[in-house]
Amino acid sequence: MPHCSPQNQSESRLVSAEVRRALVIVLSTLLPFAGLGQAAAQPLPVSTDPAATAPASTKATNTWGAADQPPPPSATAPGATAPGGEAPAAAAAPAAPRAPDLKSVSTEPPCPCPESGLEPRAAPVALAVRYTLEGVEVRGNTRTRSHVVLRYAPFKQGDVFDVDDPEVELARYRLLGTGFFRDVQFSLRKGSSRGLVVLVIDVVERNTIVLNDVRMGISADADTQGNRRPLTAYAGIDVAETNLLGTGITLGSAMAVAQNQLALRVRFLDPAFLGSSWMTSGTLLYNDALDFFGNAAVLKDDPKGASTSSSAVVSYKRFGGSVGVGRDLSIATQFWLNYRLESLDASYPFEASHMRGFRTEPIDFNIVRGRSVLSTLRATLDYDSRDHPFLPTRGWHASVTAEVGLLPAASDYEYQRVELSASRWWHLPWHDHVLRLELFAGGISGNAPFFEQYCVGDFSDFLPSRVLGVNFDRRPAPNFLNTDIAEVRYGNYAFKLAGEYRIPLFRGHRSIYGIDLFGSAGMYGVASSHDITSPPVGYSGLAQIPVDLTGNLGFRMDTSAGGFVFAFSNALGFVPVRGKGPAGGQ
Amino acid sequence: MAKGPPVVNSGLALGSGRRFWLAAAVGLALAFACLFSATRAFAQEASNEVVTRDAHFDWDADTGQLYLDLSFRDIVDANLQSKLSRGLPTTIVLTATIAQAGNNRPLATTAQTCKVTWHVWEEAYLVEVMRPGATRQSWTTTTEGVVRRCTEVRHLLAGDAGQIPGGVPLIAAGKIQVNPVSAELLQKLKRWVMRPSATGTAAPGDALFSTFTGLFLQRIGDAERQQKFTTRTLLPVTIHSKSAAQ
Repeated sequence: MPHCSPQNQSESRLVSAEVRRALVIVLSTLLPFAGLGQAAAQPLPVSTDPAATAPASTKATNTWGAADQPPPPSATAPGATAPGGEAPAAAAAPAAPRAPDLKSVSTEPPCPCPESGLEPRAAPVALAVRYTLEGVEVRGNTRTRSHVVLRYAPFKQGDVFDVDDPEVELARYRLLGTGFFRDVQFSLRKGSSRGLVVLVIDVVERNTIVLNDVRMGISADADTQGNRRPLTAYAGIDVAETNLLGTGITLGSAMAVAQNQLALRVRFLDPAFLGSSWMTSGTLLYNDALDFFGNAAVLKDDPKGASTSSSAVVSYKRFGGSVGVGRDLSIATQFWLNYRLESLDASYPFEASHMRGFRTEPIDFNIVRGRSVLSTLRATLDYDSRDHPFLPTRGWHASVTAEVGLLPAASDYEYQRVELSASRWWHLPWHDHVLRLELFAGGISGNAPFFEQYCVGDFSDFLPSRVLGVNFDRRPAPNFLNTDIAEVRYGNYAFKLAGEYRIPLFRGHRSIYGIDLFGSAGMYGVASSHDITSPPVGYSGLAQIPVDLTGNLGFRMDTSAGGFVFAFSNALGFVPVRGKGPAGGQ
Repeated sequence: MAKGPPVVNSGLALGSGRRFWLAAAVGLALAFACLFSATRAFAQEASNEVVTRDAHFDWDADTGQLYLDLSFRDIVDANLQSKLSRGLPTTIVLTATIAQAGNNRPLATTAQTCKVTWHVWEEAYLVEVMRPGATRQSWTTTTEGVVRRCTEVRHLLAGDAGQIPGGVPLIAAGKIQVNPVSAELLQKLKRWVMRPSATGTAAPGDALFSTFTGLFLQRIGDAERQQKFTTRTLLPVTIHSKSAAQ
């Protein structure tokens, strides 16, 4: 066998020319499933029959339609035996090595050398099986409404239905991807007259109540002098019905609870508002929570004596909600506009001070005492080209958010927020390892309430992050760099730059889909305007920049119950790590 | 104003010693959960074992080509049989590598694709078998005819003298896939599921992003059904096609 391909000489012993030609056949079979361009999807004509060499699209338009009587299959399928009869088994098991009696339609020479300028053409002229759709029938849906199913299957009465159209398989996977169904099967049955068919969509519904999040932990507290404060337990849960009353609408609720604290959420998402391409969402929230202010040596004027804590405690309630509309700008880009309205009721000491560095300073609680109104408008542009939601190996996920407080129309808080976040994943050439770089930068100008500001716990892996907006943990940052980050809990400005390295350990297709070992490291900073203009006394030089290191090591598990992270930082969440300010230990 | 005294919350306060043991217990529980889950997963994957199949090699001394006979009728179970008559194509793909016994390095590869389409109005199956060097289309009205054409592979060209030394024991290994999903389609599906255009569920960044979606992404896999196989070590039987033809 001559070496035909100069590009493939090193592999010529491995794959013969005929096998390569067979692979071309296989690929030409798979390409239509791949939904690639029609040029690639069309079978390569090799027959010497002029009719057979005509483009399939012109040859087979509604071949089986009622208007055109179907030609005998033997006439349109070179090499095919007539239907209705069983072909002799000998035809399928030829004795000759090159299988000339297989009614091969290949007319190529044994070696399709590239020097001839022609690619191998080994595929036959495939029959394009097309019908006219008389209707689409949905079966097996007891809860999900038929129009919700049909939303995912872009076929309607009168369409020409090509059984090889990759859109058919894609529509089936789309339906499976909703999570509404355990199984989806498409089939065709005869219509009222020859050439007409009814597309039957059989679905098997499944439980659509999903558990989105469960959190449990033990919060810890410590002042910047290293004094321990009590531990409190907290828990949170987030559950959603993703197919409410069979409408395809998601309705979710979440709850977080700790000692004397409660947070509730109810959320909905309609992915096709009134059948349009607009998405709508809404959230109802209620928080009855506490927050603890003061770094150390807290002095407070609390005439009611309600609080026995050594911190200056803000007791506040939030009640309100938000509504939003969204739209896909492209397959990877989405735009959302949200309006939020909340009623706030806060109480806290009339006067309070704490040790900030070496100096006693008044505490700014960043919330209006008594009743107030928070009203904002937020726009988000999201770009997501990841190949997987939990264990991505490549792509981008970036978003830009702008939010303004609607003062003076309907808000007591005038502020503007701009945020940029971006992550990129690279699939490394060795052993499927993955590298991720993450960047976040955000700034708030104005008097945003403290729960809208950036929190150290949201950026450090060594501290539990907020749950439903409630900050259960009250420890300062670990402060590996000995900066004044130990004095910061909330801030108007924040950034984070981090990298993560992931090593796949396991891939499966059952209850556990993937386990990756990961390690991450990064730097973050959180600061208020006050921290920038008037750094705490006791810090000098670069220590006046409130930054700290963060890192994590553990396992990411993608499972049928969702994504889980078992990491070193989780364990640290149960072992208080306390940062200390310059007055620590004194 | 008065300095607030340190207060210990009754009932929830824990000493440092107890806290250590609590942390240790939680850590152990997490580790156990990981280990248990991983063990369970590996046990499940073990069911996807490599099946040993009977095969037969013919070495055509006249043409210097190796042929493979292989049967995998069991891949067409009752579920797949019921799917065959649904009017939409079903594809069964065999891919195999040939190696010298005792050496894992592949010497040659081969493949066969069988595409079955039930013609609703003809009430017959069109079976298209594509293999090295030839493509055959035939009609049959029975599932038995489909199964025989697609899963009883006879005289499949598997290599030639330039690739495979003569007179050595060989082994074939590979996989059988039902309705394989190409990488391109898989990528398209994933992108769509990640960003369901106008018709999807919550966004991945949303807390309500369905875990089923993640599940679905993994479950697509490479094919609707896949089975890996290997054969026993076989010495090719020498045949003479030209003299037989004469």
